[in-house]
Amino acid sequence: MNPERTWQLWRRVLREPALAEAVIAGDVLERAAEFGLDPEQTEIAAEYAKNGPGVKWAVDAYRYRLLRVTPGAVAEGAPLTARALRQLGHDLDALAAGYVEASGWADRGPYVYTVTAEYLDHLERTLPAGPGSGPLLDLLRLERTAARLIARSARPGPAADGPTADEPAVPGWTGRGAVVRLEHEILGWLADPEGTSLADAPAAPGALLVRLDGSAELYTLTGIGGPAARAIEGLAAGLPVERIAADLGLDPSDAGLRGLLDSLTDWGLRDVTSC
Amino acid sequence: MTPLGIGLQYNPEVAEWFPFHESRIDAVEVLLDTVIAPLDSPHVILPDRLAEIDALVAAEPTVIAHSNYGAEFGFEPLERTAAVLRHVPAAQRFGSPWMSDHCFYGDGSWSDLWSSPVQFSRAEVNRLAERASRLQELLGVPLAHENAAYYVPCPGADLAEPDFLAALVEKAGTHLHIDLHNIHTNAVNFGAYTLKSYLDALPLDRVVEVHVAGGSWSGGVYHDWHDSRVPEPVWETLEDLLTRSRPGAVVLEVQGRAHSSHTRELDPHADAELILGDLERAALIWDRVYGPHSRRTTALPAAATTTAGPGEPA
Repeated sequence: MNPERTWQLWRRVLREPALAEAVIAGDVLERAAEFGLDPEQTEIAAEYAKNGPGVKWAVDAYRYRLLRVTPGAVAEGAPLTARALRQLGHDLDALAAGYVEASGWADRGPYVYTVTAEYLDHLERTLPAGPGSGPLLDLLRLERTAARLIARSARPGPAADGPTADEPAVPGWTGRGAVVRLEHEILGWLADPEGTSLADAPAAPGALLVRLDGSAELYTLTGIGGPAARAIEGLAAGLPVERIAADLGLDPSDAGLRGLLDSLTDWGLRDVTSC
Repeated sequence: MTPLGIGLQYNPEVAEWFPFHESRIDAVEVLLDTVIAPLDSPHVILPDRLAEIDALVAAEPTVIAHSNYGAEFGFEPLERTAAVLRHVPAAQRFGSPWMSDHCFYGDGSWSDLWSSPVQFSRAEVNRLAERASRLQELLGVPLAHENAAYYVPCPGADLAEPDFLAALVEKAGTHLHIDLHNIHTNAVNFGAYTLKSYLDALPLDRVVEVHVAGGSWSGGVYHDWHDSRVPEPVWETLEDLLTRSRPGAVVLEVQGRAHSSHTRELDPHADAELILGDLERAALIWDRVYGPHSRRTTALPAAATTTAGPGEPA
């Protein structure tokens, strides 16, 4: 039996409840077509089926571990969102379990920021509206942006079952920063999350620059105005400075714009060598 | 390799309350997976664990690097595994005298590892030996493979498990980390070998570390949960193994619910007694085999050993 195919089939058994049930029940031979198993895979599955109780234990243990590690990973990758969810009365273990089930019991293991971004995607789609849900979504988008920046900057390549392609590089932009648009004034909560309630954050449009800074905390947040946000979004989309200046009704030599560009260069967000 | 003596694994369920710094432990085995930074982050060690780990390294006991999730035996390029990206630099930072990991398949996942023993086949000896050899070269100190406890064998084996391990270390030039409780667990559950027959098939001069632990019965299966005292068959075999090999350390593993919801939460008071009792028993066996001054914490000062004449006790 080919070892790699054996391992791949075993991973399917762990993740696909119907396939696992067939192996545990010992009727996987009869149901091989249902799971798209070729003859070699069927032979492997039949071998596993000889130890049904062991397979059941392994599947249960896999789920136990995944449900146990996912909340921890998310708390590490998105600590502010985790804190806000607790503050707003959500059950983090139940939310993580919902995500794990919806994701097909996939396990990203040591790719904490990748799983964080996917989990926050899931929450954005599934969290019901309620007190504080608007500011919570702002916070969620903020940490998702940070998680994606971290994962993209650090990762040598895709995980076995992670994203399959890196985004194309933008000339002049390093990808180490991004703008997050906000619909609520959450800076007060960010400054004092224990002393304030996120649910009290008033509606107010705003923008933050998230930039990787090489520190232990990984990134820095900077409050920015509307024109700066548009300029940075333009740079991240690969627009030339002249076009960005024109869109803002500024001269390319405008002191404010040049100051912003210099700061972005100093922070390692602009790559002037490739311009 | 200088023999260290008796150690205790530094894992999250014990590290919070066991007095590592006040205990006379010859070595501390750090579970790398709990301190390394995510593979999609820029750090090697989690920044919020760095000070704690550096303090551990700066203290007296030698720190041994050990892992579950290196994934060096998976099918991804070796260069993308946690073993290369995190464990090698972490072990080097700790000054670990060797590093060990389990004989599991693995990739960018964690939760499936414990159910994924490698296939004990001749084909896998060749593939895994090449990867192990490269990893040891990157590491710069001995790499040891730990025999795993498992509950579902990987289909396709054409070698007995100990014969597979013997062939692997022979071909790769790597080393063995013998977990006596894992052998005991598999022997109880599958009956394919005994502790003695397993060890008899191995090149015991390759053993750099030994694990001892306890386990529990659940659902008619004996589990390697590290949640109870070391059982007698393991103690009996430890003395035999030490007599026939010269490992650098014997390390005790104690854990609570890391493995299963069916185990118990550790109790700092009662389990400290359990740990100290098992450490003492391990030290007694070690000393009986290698002598009263053979451990890091019991070695005589260098001056005393150098002034002893031929034939005199040092």
